[in-house]
Amino acid sequence: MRTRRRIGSVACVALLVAGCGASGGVVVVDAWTRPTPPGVDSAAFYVTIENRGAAPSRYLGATSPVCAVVVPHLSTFDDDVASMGDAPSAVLELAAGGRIEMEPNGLHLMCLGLTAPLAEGDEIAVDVELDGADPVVATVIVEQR
Amino acid sequence: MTATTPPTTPPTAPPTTGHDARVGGRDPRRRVRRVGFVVAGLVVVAAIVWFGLGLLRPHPYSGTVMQAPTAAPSMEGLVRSDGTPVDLADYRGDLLLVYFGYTSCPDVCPTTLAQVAAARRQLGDDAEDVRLLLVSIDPARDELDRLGDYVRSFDPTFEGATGEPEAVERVASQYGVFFAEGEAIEGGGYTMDHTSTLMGIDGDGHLRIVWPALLDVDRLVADLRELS
Ligand SMILES: [Cu+2]
Repeated sequence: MRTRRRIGSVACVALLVAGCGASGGVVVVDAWTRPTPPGVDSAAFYVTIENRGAAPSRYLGATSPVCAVVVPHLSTFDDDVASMGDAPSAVLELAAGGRIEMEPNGLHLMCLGLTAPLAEGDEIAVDVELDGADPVVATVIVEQR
Repeated sequence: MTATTPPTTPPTAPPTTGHDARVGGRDPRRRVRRVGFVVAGLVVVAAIVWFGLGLLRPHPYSGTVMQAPTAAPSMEGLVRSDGTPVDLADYRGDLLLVYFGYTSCPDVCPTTLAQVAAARRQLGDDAEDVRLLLVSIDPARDELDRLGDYVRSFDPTFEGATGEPEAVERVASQYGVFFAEGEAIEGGGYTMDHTSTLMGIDGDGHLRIVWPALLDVDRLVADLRELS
């Protein structure tokens, strides 16, 4: 994961000239999901977004051609009881230099109404809409982590 | 060190006879060698003591170990994905991990199952007697076929079970597991709130250990090695 992040940053530096930071400085640092088990038509996308710009931004929404809807969800634990629900808006803020970190057992982009099962190695495009910045496209890699 | 330091005596004092370290050993090189042997001996002794204490020190489990393990509650009324009733006697001699969850759970349940699968892979040959049973607390949606396909996609040895709502409720409560319908989600459907602990039933059929939600794979592996 760390390696991937580093590769991501290196790729970003290499692409800087080509306009990597052009979209208001918001970049996707890491994006992955697990292969879907048979019969399951939803998936949790773990997409970590970083605001490298000077202006604050905010997650507004996301869409993907393979999902009927994409909703930010938060898994929470109370006395070992797991619950999942809509993510509060506070965790979707992107201060300048800040991050929206997503990982298992926490914040995720819930893909509902999957049009096809996701298999190891697949790559899914997710368009993330941001406040005051150009939308970014996250390439969600399907892999067992 | 202090033994080899010559005593600080005024220059006028008569020469000392027995206490000067250089006088004790006739050949200084032999003395150095002797000190070397003593140091090496101490290192060996210290290593043995350290290793011995390590063996005696209890394994720091990442779950709660039952001090007086009792027989795991019966799962009567639950049916496995292959259609057979769940009989805990089938798992005698094995370490049976039990997790209560549901297949339409896209974050917490697959994360737990993927972690147990990863732990089994790390265990290698030792994983042979480590089994997993997912008890679905969502029998309305989790038909047996679906449940079986679901668990086997994580690890071909995993099993799933469920039953009539009353049976599921009874078994869950006996295992201290809470579940209830949670938030309705956008795009239809609903989620389930559920206790996300992992439980371990030992080879004698005793409930031995309960891991809290949010597993750590490396620590789970260490615990499983200790238990199986
Ligand atoms: Cu979710």
